[in-house]
Amino acid sequence: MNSKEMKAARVKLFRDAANFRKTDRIPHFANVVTWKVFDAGHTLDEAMTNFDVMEKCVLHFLDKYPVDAILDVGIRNQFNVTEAFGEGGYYYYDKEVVGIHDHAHCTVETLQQYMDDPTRYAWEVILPKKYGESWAQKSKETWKKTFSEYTRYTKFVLHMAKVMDRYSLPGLSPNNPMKGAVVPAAEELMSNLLGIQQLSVAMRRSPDLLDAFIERWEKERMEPIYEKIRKAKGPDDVHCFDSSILMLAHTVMNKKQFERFYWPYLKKLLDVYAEKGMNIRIFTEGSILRFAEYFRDFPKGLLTFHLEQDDPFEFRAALPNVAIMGGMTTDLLSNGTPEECVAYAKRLCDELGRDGGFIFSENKMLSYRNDAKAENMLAVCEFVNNYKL
Amino acid sequence: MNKYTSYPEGYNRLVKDIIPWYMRPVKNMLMRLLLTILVDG
Repeated sequence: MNSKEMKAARVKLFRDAANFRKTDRIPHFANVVTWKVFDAGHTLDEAMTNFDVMEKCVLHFLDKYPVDAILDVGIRNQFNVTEAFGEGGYYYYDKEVVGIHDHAHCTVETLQQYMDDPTRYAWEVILPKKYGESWAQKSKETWKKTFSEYTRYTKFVLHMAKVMDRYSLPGLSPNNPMKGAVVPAAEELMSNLLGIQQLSVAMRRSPDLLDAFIERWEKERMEPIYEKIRKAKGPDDVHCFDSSILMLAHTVMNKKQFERFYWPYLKKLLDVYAEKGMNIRIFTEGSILRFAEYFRDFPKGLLTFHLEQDDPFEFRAALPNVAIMGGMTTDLLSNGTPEECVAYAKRLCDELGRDGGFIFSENKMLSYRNDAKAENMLAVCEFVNNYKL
Repeated sequence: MNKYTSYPEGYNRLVKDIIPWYMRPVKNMLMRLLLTILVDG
């Protein structure tokens, strides 16, 4: 099998699993981000802005661990760009930790101003606030240096796409790597526009303003996406999924809030994907089980939930129509023995994957040094790769 | 206060100053992604 055929076979394996078709083995989607930097003997500060080191770390992982796809090939963070621009970024890192500060671009009162002209709002409100006094001091040289780093980052993204081809690894979904995914209004409100605190307060004190924003987001941002999906031929044959969506905002909502601010819009999006017979992966941060009832009527094949905190066996009982991605806990990978990890991996494959509907993965994004022991990771990767159902 | 902080005049001047001529046909896309990184990153 040549490289292209191998990649096509992997895409088919993921699609078959998502569609509840029987497969001869379970695909492994490596939910691995910066853990691979530590595993390659480096620290984060050595790799984050040095693309040569980052590529070395990615290759070390791909040469060592047999997996069918990987979440990140070193392109998630653009620290070289933000650092060229100067201090003030929301993301931060040191030798061991990478993280993001909670932040808010807007207040609930300025959401409409943002929607009127996002570029103007960024230029006149967000950037001056974010970078403080230094915003007005940015020289032509600083901007040129920043743009130069931006093109260097873009070239790295394209280069790593070729590396993935060389290893016959399909991409997760055809989304913009800079933004990650199709973003429902509630998620944009939580992650960027209002932040966790303001969104929580606004749902109680200013629900009408949120409604107005979400309706506008729906019309101006989501409707063009619906049209694009409707014009597509159907599922593509080069990615594991047709779309990847991240759900986090549900974790700060009660059911009444979910029904008002989130569900009607998410359902509309999922219905459009269902019309085209597409496969959608949703990374459900926190727990999604308390909202299980909303997803019961979708056909098998549409949804694959990548579970972060929910028990996969409990989830299967609650939503037998939704495929499961995940299962392997970082708790076990970091604290267990190789034998314990393999025994649990076998149980996951046997009980969840015999009739399709299961993709092996880690429940959390492997980011920190202690998220997994290398010997445990290697043991489960080799087991899943070789285990015949 | 520098020459780039106004909108749209300063913004347009910046685009002209930093994007090489051969990339100008895709300047809107380039600036949108660059702004995304600087705003959200």
